[in-house]
This record gives sequence, C-alpha cells and structure tokens, in this order.
Amino acid sequence: MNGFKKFFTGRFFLVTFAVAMLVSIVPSVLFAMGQGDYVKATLQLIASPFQWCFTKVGEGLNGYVIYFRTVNELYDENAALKKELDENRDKVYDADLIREENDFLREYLGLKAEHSDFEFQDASVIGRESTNYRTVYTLSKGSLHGVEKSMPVITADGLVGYVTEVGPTYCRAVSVTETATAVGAYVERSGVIGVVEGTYSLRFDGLCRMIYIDPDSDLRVGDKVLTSGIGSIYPRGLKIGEITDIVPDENNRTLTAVILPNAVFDGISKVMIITSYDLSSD
Amino acid sequence: MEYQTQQHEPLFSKKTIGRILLFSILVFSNGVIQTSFFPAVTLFPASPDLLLSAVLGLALFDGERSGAIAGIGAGMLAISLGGAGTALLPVFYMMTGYLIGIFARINFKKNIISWFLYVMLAAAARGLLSAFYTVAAESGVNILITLSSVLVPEFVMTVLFSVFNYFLSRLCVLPFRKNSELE
Repeated sequence: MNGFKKFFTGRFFLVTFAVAMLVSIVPSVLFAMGQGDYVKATLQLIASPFQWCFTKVGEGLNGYVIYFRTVNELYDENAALKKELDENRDKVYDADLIREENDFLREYLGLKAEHSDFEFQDASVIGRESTNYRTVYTLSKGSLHGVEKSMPVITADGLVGYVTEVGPTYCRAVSVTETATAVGAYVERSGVIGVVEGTYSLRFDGLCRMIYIDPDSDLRVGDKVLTSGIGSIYPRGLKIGEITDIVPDENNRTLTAVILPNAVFDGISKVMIITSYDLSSD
Repeated sequence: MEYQTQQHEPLFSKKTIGRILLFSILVFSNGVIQTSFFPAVTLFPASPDLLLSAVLGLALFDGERSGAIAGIGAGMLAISLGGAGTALLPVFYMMTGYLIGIFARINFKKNIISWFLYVMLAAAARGLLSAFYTVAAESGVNILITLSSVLVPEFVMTVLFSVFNYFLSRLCVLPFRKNSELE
C-alpha cells in the first residue's frame, strides 16, 4: 500500500494536480471578476472553424435522418388520414341515410297532415323481385307490425300499390301498373269517374290506364287522377297519376285514359302502408 | 509489493514534442467533434464524452503521465468549447487519466474488454459528477428524469463511441511505444 501511496505523493502528481486545480478555478475566478479568459477564448477561436465544419457534416447527416424520420411520420400520418377518411365516408354515408330518412319523415308528416284519419306504418323496400311479367316489392314490415293483406302502399308522390302477402316481419306488395290491380278513381278537375288498372302492354312503359269513362266526359291531358274510394281497398283522395293520352275504347262506346303514375317505381326505397283509415271521410 | 512510477523522457526531446503534438491533435479533434457534430445530429439521444475516452486511451496505452496531462488539456477544452457542465472537469479528467494509467500499467491487460471496463467505470464517475453538479447548481431537480434523459443516454453513447478512441489512441501511441507494450 505504501508503494501505491507514492503515486499520489510524487512530484509529477502534485504538480499536475495543482495545474488541474488552477485551470479549473482560475477561469471561474476571472469570470466572477468580469475578466476575460484568454486561454478559453483562444481555444474557442482555434476550434471554431473546425466546429463549423463538423456542425455542417452533422447537419447534413441530420438532414438524411430527418428525411427518413419524416418519411415514417408521413407514413403514419397517411395511415391516420386514411382512417379518418374512412370514418368520414361512414359519417357521410350515415348522413345520407339520415337525410333520406328525414325527407321521408317530412313527406310522412305532410301526408299525415293531409289525411289526418290515416294510420301509417312506414317500411323500407328490402327486396324487389322482378320478372318479365310482374314486379313485387318486399317490404320490411309484416303482421307483427299490424300489416295485413290488401292494405294500400303509398309514397308522398302517390299510390304505389297494395299488400298481396304478409309474413311476420315482412310483406309483399304489387304496384298499380300490374295487371292484377283495379282501383276506383276520379279526375280531380272534373270529377269524372272510372277504374284504373294495369295492363300487360302498358306496364313495360311504367304506365296504367283508366277505363269505363263516359265518352262525353270532360277529360284533358294533364288532368290528375285520384282514388275514389268506391268499391276498392283504397281510401279516397290518393294521387294515382296524370293523364298522358285519351283514346276511344275499341270494344265499346267509352273512353280510355293512359295514366303516368306519380310514384316513381324504380327508385322506391321507403314506403308507407296505410294500416287504417276512416271510410266515412271524403 | 513495490510499485514503480512511470519513467519519463526529457521534456524537449523529439519524442516528447511529437507526443504532445499528436496527442493534442487527438484530444482537440475529439473535443471539436463532441461539441459540434454530435449535437447537430438529432438521431443521437446525447453527445458522447469523447474527450473522456480519448484521455482513457492515452492513459491506457501511454501511461499515467500522458493520461494526466491529456486530462488537463481535455478538461480545458471541454470548458472552452462549451461542452462542459462543471468547472472541475480538468481535475476530473486529470485524475481519471492518471488512475486508469496506473491501473492499466500494473494490473490489467490493454485489450478491448478491459477498455470497456475502464470506460464504463470512468463514464459512471463522470455521470455521478454531473449529477452532483446539477443537484448542487439547480433547484428542483428530478433525479429520475435527469437519469433517464441525460445521464443514461450519455453513459451509453460514451461507452459505444469510445471504441473509436481505443483504436485511435493506440494508433497515436504506436510511434512512441513498442507493439508489445500495447498488449
């Protein structure tokens, strides 16, 4: 241990230790006295150009580091934006659905105001079975919702058809343009009455016809045709369509009016089923 | 056991002047890189204490005298170039260089494993000094945050990048020492 001790008592150690203490303390003392440290300033002066060079090299390297780091950040940001975009698409889709439902409910309210005696059951078109001979709509409400066979199906635009088949949670309906339908109707302007029915030849053009019209009746193209409520399942006053053509019947002395239905059958997504109405009302 | 102090050559001999020049360049370069290159690169979590490993390298391969003198120079440079936190760095580097020089000469081999051992020991002591200085100089220091954000990254970086100085200081000492003395 004595041998080791001489490392710390030797002249070299004592001198270097003293110098180290001096260079540690003197700059601090000079700084405290407000004096400049010339050694420090000189060293800094010599080192400055080299420091500048190495800083530039470091910054250059840092540029690459930042580039790759930025690429990663951009990748993450892109993924986040894609996610946000998907969420926004969902929101827009939801908003469209809500808007559609809102429009439907507004129309529903209009109808409700117009026909205060009607009880409605709203339904969505969940299926459309289309063959060459017949178009059948499958609706989202059934007997559990109070829907029964032969109930009228309408939209705010006008009469769609009637319910032909009822299941617990669904029902099927055919349109007024189908051949199986017959609706008691009248012309709004003149009160001329007749029967609206679907025919095989007209259904492909989305049309139907009004028959049994007296040849002396006051009829014009553009007249509006409504349900009469006489002898049928439909209440009075539902819009059926507009007369587009008037032709004499070939087989008897009556007139036939070709009608363009108000309801747009191709684009129907929501309908209302009239579950109850007052027979005595006009 | 009788320990011998390191033999030295005359101050104004060619060898001594050559040593001073070469070792100064090594220490100076390390100081410049430590205070300019590393702070500019944000990839590194902290700047390594290259001056410490340069002093250790010279102490390991050329003995305690070179280690101590290089330590004083490194301390002055650290203070001058703005990379130092404490004014006592010249004393710390000098003592580190001196002690490691003695240990290396009398006890341990100068291979890379013992090198890392010295560096870790010295870097830990340096971290301790910084921690004491920070606690003494600053108020409300959270030692855990200081440890995780400064001391540990600095320790790791110092140990990692010291490997360059192991070979560089060995190369600088080579003209003045026999190869067998560097093993």
